[in-house]
Amino acid sequence: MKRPIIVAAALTAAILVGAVALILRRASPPEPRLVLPAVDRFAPGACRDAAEAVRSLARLTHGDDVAALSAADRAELRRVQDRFVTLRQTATADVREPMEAVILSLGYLRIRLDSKTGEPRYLRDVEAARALLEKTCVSVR
Amino acid sequence: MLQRPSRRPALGVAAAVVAAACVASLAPAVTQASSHREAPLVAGEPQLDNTDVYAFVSPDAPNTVTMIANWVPFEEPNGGPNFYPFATDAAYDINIDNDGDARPDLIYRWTFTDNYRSRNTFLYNTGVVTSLDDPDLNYLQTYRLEAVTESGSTVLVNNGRVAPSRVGRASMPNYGALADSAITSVPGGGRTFAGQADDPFFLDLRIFDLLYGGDFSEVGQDTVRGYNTNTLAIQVPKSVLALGGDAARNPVVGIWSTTSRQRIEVVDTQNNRNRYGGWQQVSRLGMPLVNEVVIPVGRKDEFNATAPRNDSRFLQFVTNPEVPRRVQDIYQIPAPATPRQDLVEVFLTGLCKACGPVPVDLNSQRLNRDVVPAAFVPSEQLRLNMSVPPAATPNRLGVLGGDNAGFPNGRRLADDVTDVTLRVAEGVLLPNHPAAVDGLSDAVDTNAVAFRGTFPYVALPNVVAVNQN
Repeated sequence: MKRPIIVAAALTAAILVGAVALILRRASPPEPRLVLPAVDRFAPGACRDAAEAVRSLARLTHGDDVAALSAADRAELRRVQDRFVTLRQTATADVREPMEAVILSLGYLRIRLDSKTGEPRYLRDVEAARALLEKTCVSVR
Repeated sequence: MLQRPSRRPALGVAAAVVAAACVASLAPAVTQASSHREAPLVAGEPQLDNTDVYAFVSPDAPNTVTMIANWVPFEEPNGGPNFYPFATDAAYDINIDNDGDARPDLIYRWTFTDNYRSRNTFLYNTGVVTSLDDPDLNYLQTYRLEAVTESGSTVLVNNGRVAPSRVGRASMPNYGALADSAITSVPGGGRTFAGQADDPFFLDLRIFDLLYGGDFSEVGQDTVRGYNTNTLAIQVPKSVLALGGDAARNPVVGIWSTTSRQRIEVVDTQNNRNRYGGWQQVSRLGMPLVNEVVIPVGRKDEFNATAPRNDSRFLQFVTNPEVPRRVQDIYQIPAPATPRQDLVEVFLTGLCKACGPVPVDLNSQRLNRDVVPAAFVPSEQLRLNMSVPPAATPNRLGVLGGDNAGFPNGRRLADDVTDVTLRVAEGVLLPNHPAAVDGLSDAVDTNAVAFRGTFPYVALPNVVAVNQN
């Protein structure tokens, strides 16, 4: 008699846990979808030249999981930073400033990632700087 | 105006420096690093190459200070048949400056002699060795230890026994006991040890491959892991080191090691080496990594031969260091503004409020009450405030980690001087420094093997070949 009661209780508990998990999953907000402006929305010149790097960077900074960045991602961060370093020479003052902010924040993120002491705030700082650069480049058109 | 060092100010220093590191509210300073094969000439003379110096209040005997100096880098454990003796034509010195004039007030000097039982065998030992007097130990070095002061030289140990290189488990099945039997008492309440040990330094030496392979992305390999070194250690009462014998009034000492060799060598047709001409300093080491990453290659050999009282000739390399410029090239993180007076204070004067921009009193000889400030000469030394007691829970980052008993207040075996040096070079103690540099690291945080809890503290030498572990 005792055994059927235990089995029934276990089944009930499992069903309850599953139901709660399903409800929570539906209730939690979905991961925000990454929406990026098309390249041709970036102002011609340094902004247009930087568009590919800005968009690539967004894919890396989307989310908050600094630990998820792979060796390939770190290499891409370096490539993107190098690209901005090259382009800042030709950027106008209003674009150069946010571009240099991206370069600097990328330096902090990269050195922390490479030192194996990365923290989410450095990723967020890069994203904030990147978003400002994107906004500047798209709005100055 | 001098302030009497005491435990309370020292604790205040920790709080202040931690605050600087964490909140960017102070303007402090710091350090440099070790030296394995760091200069062109000494890289070809490993027996003369001093690799690191450590000095700390002994954790198990806090009325004493232990000083450890190492020579001969990268000893592969199985490097027979001759293994790793000290040079017999060199003077191995640990120098102590307690009045801040950049001249040694006390020198501990070891000189060595080779002894063979038989020259008709290729073997270091001809059977199992169970003691230093074992007839199967074919080769044994002995040493003389002298204390050299202004008033002359006193022999502290004559015919002392060097712990032999660790040949292997078959030859020396109880190496720990064998090595411990080489610990020798020193008159006046001290003890000394000469012999092989695990190299206690830990770091990723790939920093020389354009900063760890082009950037920091490949950090984490303890390059020194598995290698041995030759250790000279001495533990003495604080009063022996202190100015006027008074460690309460004068608790700060500066320490550095040097190697000197005879100036002239004549090689005869039988390949005998005849040496004479008096001692000439050929290698030195106080703070870690100074000659390695601060002094440029064209001046490294000169630095090794330079007495600390003449260190002003290298000032420009301290005030305008190269490492931050390299980091800037790779990461686009601006190097701290120069001239770096913060580095001067840590490097050349020790930390004291009257010494420079770091508003803390910690480890400058100027803090000694009987020092004449006008006679103080800035110089590169490892400075230790002996009044700071051993930490109950040491922090590998020493003063940066809120632990004043550690580097750069002296140096313990487990202090991570590479991480500290990287962070300080990037301005971690400067006001308003970027928080990102607080986390700079070579990702090698500890030694591969545990240190021992009693004198001489260094771990026993490795016995497994480096390419097998």
